[in-house]
Amino acid sequence: MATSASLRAFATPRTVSAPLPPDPVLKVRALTVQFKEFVALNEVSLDLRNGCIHAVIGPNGAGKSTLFNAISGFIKPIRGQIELFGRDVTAWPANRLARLGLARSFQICAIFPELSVEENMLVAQAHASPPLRLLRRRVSGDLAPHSETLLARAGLTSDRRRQARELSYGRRRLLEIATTLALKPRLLLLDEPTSGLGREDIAPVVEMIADAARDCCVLLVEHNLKVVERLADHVTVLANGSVLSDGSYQEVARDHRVRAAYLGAATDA
Amino acid sequence: MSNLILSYLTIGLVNGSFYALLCLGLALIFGLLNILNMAHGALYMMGAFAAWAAVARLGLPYLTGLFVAAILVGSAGMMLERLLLRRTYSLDPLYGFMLSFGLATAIQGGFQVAFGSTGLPFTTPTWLSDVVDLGYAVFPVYRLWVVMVAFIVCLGVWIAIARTRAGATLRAASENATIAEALGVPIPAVMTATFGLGAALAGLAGALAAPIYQVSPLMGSDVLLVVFAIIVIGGMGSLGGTILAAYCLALLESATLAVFPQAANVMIFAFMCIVLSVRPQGLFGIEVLRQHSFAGIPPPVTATRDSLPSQNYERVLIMAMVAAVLALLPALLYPIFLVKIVCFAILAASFNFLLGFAGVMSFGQAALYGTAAYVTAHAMKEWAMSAELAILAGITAAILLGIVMGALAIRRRGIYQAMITLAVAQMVYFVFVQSSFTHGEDGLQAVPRGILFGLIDLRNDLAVYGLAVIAFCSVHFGIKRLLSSQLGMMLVAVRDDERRALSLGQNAWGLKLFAFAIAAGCAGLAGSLSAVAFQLATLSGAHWHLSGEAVLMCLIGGLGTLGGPLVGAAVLVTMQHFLAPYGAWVQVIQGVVFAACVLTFRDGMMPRHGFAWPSRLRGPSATSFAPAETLEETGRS
Ligand SMILES: Nc1ncnc2c1ncn2[C@@H]1O[C@H](COP(=O)(O)OP(=O)(O)OP(=O)(O)O)[C@@H](O)[C@H]1O
Ligand SMILES: [Mg+2]
Repeated sequence: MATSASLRAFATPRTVSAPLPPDPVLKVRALTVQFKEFVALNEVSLDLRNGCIHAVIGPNGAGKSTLFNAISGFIKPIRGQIELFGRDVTAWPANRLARLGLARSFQICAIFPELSVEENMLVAQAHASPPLRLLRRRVSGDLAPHSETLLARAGLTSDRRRQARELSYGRRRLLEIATTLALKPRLLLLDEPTSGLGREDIAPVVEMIADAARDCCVLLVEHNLKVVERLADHVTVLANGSVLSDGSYQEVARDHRVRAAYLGAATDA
Repeated sequence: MSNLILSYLTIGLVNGSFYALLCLGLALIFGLLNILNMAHGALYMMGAFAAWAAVARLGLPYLTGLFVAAILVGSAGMMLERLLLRRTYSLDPLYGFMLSFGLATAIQGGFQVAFGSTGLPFTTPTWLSDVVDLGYAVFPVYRLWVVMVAFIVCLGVWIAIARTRAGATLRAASENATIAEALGVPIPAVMTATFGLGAALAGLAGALAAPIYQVSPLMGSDVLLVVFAIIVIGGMGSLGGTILAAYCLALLESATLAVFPQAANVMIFAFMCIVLSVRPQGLFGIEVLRQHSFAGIPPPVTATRDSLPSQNYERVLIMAMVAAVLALLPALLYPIFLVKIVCFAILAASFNFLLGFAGVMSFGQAALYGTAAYVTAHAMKEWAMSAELAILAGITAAILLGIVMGALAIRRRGIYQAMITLAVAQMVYFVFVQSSFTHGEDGLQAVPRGILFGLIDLRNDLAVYGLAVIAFCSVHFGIKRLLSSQLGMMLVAVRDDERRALSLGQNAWGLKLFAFAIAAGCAGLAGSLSAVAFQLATLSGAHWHLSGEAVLMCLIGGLGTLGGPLVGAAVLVTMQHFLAPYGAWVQVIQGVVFAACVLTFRDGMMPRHGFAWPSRLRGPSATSFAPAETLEETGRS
């Protein structure tokens, strides 16, 4: 387990090595998403500052995953605007956003179970390869050094030829984050990266996130408030599809409405 | 004129009654059992026969006959579910679909053996045989009776499901069987009862249809496809929507009949294509009860599996043996018989490829095969094109059609894709039935074989055999090569988890279309080859029963194995050859073999060489990646 001090170090705004994207990196304005009559997101606005880890928290069903799906192009909002790296990307398809530098993970860990660990990484880097290369046979050497490093970082190098579905849940999570990072994203969306993980699996995931955040901005949904406290520079609280509170972890934690929403939800659950 | 239209619309209501009863049963069964029941048409036909037997043979009163038909077919349905279909619940829904297809084939074949293919007359009961003046037309009372009975029954079932306790149980079970079971709902019994209800509705529809249409073993086969198209348009999420769609589309169909009779057959299918392109989620927009995308079966060849020298040596040896056998075979067997095996093997391989790489179970491969056969035959016979160009033209036509079919199919998921391919295929079939260039039932005959590349005289059967072997090898090794390429890997990735692939920047849509195009090219190659070899292109080559046979071949040989299609084709063609003198028995045996393969012999004949078989298709154990679960989040968007 990394010490809390070393994690703290990442929690202050960092200098980002890539050419500086405009600020804010992600600008969400009055985003509204509806499923039939049900309003899942209601006029949500949010700014993600450059070099930040920004956490979105809220009780179950608050709309956090829906917000992620809308930002990453999986759900079309009925109103509102999304600006990414200074461009209006509202209603762009997901794969185009990915090529622009937005990478995401899913709440239910999403990997390709029938492919090997190594091939999972290859898929992530494949969009960068020229079409003719795709017809070539796959060989180990195709893995870019960057992906190789990530694989090692996730502790999966020795399992590279195993099928992904043979991995334990914790290691699948690591693999998912590794493939997400293999896109070399400028903005990383992580939906509950520690959900369903045992205590001993949480530490390496948190470390990987902290590590990745040195080179990109992170938007993070997380139920584990300890992790939020350690990682996040800024916290937005969602409840019932609206922004309830917004600020640093300490500010948000003091907000009595947030406490009420959380305690209310906690007693429901 | 308006009188004419009104009377056509009344006819539409009659057809709508049958569609509504069938759709309702299918939707109920699909909602709870997650099986797309291909045997529904057979159950409908059984209803007609049951009514016929009760009334014409035993002399029971007509109303009793209706009742008996519904009860008998319902009981038969319950038995089918209890004894056979139940065994597929723990497997991918694709197996339930295939099993019901096998059962339908066997049942229809059985009735053909017993009663012959020609229709049996069924007289309208005297008290309904009058006509009535509706003001705009004179109309048989019987048809109005049908409309009334069907409407009351549909409404009754609908209300019962919406309002009664039993209905609430059924809805709860359809929504989430696991939770309902935990709350004490006896799921297995509810499933049997639901299947029985669906079957009884089909039986009733058949019994009602008996006096209007002739009672014949194949009467349910084409209706079923229309019903599928209606379900794709209306969706199965709400029973009310399904019933409404059935009536509306029947009206549309009969309106077309009034205005432009040639198009009436294809109208519903064409409308389905339009709806899919404009509003992919269907007219009523609620399609999800549980959607599955088929896990498919590519043997994901791991790139890094470096072959050992000894394996290389073995491979050369095997190749040499295969080549020797191929060279010797024509000396033992009639070359054209072998070519038929090869054509079918390529067709089956195209099905296999699509299932494996796009996760689409396509019942449309025969339409592609038939299209290519017609184009090639026409080009050679009418335009005197050289063999290689004609084959190329056939393949191109098949690829174009395949891309259209694919673009429509991938707008939905899972079992809907199978229905869409079937419906598109049926539409193509109807177009062929009505076009003049296909020469209808006769087909294009005596197609000259010509000379390949101006060098090889194809009038020699051995040359055709050689061409077929080369074609098969290109397909076989081409697919194998694709499997081990990065592109193949990306196709598997899209099939495994489309959202994930999208979020990693893959163009999932394009990749799926690519898979469709490749598969269509293979099916087209098989079709063109058949036109050259048999000097013939007929309607039966474009009929969806041929697609069913392609599925059967893959199943016999082993779904997802590279060699499976060839082995399966050899077995099936041989079987058909030797059973040919027994007429309809072929159907029965084929159906039984199909069902038996699904139930007991799922792995087929070819060994799987340590290739991984996706967990979802392997059975009850490994289901940690149930597709339903992964679709939960955005499947509805
Ligand atoms: N595709 C959909 N169709 C209909 N309703 C949906 C859909 N997706 C989400 N919802 C509803 O929207 C609401 C917000 O869901 P969302 O998944 O965004 O919540 P969440 O904040 O991520 O909750 P959790 O902490 O449980 O992950 C929920 O009430 C959910 O039922
Ligand atoms: Mg969520």
